Amino acid sequence: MRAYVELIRNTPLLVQLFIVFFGLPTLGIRLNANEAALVALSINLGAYSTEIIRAGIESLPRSQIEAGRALGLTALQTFRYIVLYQAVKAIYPALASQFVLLMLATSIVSAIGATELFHQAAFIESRTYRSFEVYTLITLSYLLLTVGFRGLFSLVYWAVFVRRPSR
Amino acid sequence: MIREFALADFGYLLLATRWTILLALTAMLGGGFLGLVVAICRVLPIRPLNWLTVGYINLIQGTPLLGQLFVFFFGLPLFGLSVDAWTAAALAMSIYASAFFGEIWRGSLQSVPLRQWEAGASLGLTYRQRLAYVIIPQAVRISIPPTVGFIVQLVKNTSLAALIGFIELTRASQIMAAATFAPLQVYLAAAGIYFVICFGLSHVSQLLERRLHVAR
Amino acid sequence: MSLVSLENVVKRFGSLEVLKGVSLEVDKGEIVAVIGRSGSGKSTMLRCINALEPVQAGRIMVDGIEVTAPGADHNKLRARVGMVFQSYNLFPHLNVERNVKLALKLVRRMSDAEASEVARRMVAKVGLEDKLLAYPDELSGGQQQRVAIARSLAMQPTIMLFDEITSALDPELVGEVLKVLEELAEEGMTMMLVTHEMHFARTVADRVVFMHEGRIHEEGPAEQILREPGTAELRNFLSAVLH
Repeated sequence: MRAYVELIRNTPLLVQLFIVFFGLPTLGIRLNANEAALVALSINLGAYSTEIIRAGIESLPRSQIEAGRALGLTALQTFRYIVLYQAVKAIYPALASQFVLLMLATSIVSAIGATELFHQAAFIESRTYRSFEVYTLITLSYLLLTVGFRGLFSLVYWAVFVRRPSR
Repeated sequence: MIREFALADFGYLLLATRWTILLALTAMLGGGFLGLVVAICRVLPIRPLNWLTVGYINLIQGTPLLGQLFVFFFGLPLFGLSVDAWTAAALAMSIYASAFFGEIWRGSLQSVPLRQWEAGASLGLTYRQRLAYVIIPQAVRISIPPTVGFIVQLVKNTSLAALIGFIELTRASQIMAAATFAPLQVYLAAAGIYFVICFGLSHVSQLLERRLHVAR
Repeated sequence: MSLVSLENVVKRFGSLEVLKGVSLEVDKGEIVAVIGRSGSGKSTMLRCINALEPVQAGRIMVDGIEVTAPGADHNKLRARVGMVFQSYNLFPHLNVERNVKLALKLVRRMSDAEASEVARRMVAKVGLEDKLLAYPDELSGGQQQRVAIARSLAMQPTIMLFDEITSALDPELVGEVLKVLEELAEEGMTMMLVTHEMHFARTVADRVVFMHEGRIHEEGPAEQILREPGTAELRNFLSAVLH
């Protein structure tokens, strides 16, 4: 597990993508561009979120668990009623920003011709020859997505973790 | 010319790695300098400047690096500047890095506890002395892990320069893969080289972290 | 003439009035213990004397410097006033010796050799000569607090302010810090200390000042005021802390 996380976190997504898309066929595993993109992005996000979740759970003071056990809760109950909420609260911001990073990283899969936003740019560009305008527009449209998702994420955070539950 | 992936080919990849390293270094230095400016503009008590800087940071952090690379690669010629892939990549990555370095360093500066300022003040140190001898040395120590962490990102992200045709490690692997028809070996080898660089960097950071004394 | 004098000092944080007109005189060589509930304004008063907090009204004079005058040189003031905090506030990136030397070199303009000599003497005075090269995170809380005292003493202050310096310590470490204070008292150092150690206040302080809701509610000779409090508020406070 540790090795998987370190290997993925210390190599570029683009190279991971190439290995999946161009490399795996030599082992007889053939994926089309979209499938390869999905596999590579999943493996990539998996490694980063593993790390985030591990750090989140470790950040919880042991005393919280001990307090739960001291009250006679089982390990499972302690996890369910004490650890989970606090851990999710600690993990959420990092996970949300990792998601935004991943969204930006999807532009990379255009390199193998998967049909995402950036690939469309290349497509339009080949038809219009107005590279700069097209790329600027597409790049800025990511900004809209980023801002939108960040807003959504902080709204959810506020609703779930900040606003006091109704008394 | 179809042939097997051989030791000589690995040498070719290693040779291309120097461009990866050079690009990362350039982005580090250029981005480091600009990042300092960003951090300062972000903390100076001048409201319009702060807003402008926040806008800049959000623009850079909210758009894909690949897009920035393309915008520079295709955009600068429109201003009459003839740019090759190297210049576009170096510029785009420096600007990309500046937004991240700026935020990392501002955060480090502000995470030095307020009571450290007070302790300096209560000894009669002037504002500048407090900044230079008490706050900045601590901020530098705090900033090392996230800074190295981002440098690792930077090294990995140089691979994107391959997509505007700059021949560094990833682009060289593409060329090599096409020549040898052994894409799996070639890309695994490339991944191995990236891993050695990035893992090494993270390791150095952890070593440094352990021997530094920082306020808790 | 008194070394410290406060005249009708008013301090507000936003709409919250923390000091509601405080007047106090401290003579040279006097040891004043400031007691009171948390939130009564005692720490704020100490911080105002060292110009760490600006005041909204009133006048503060320390050793001939008018702290509250517009444009007053606060760094000059602070170089003469030693202050030790509850949270030690040693510089974590410097070892013990360099913690003490920093201000000697920057503010007192001593040479490195001179500063080293003073640092060694001061650190020895608080009984930590063997820790001269240790870093703060290698010391216990009590040891860190003693270094913080040495760091302030090295500046040869005319008065020392102690802000609840034993409150963050484990009980078994309180004694070693109070012992340093007792030695200082014997040397005739002028001191103001905010404290919860009533026994210490009674035996070491000359005068006790009891603060209540932003005002000095009662003050007098330590022995007397602690044995026979004159007001109900002080009686309540004492019976609360002594049990």
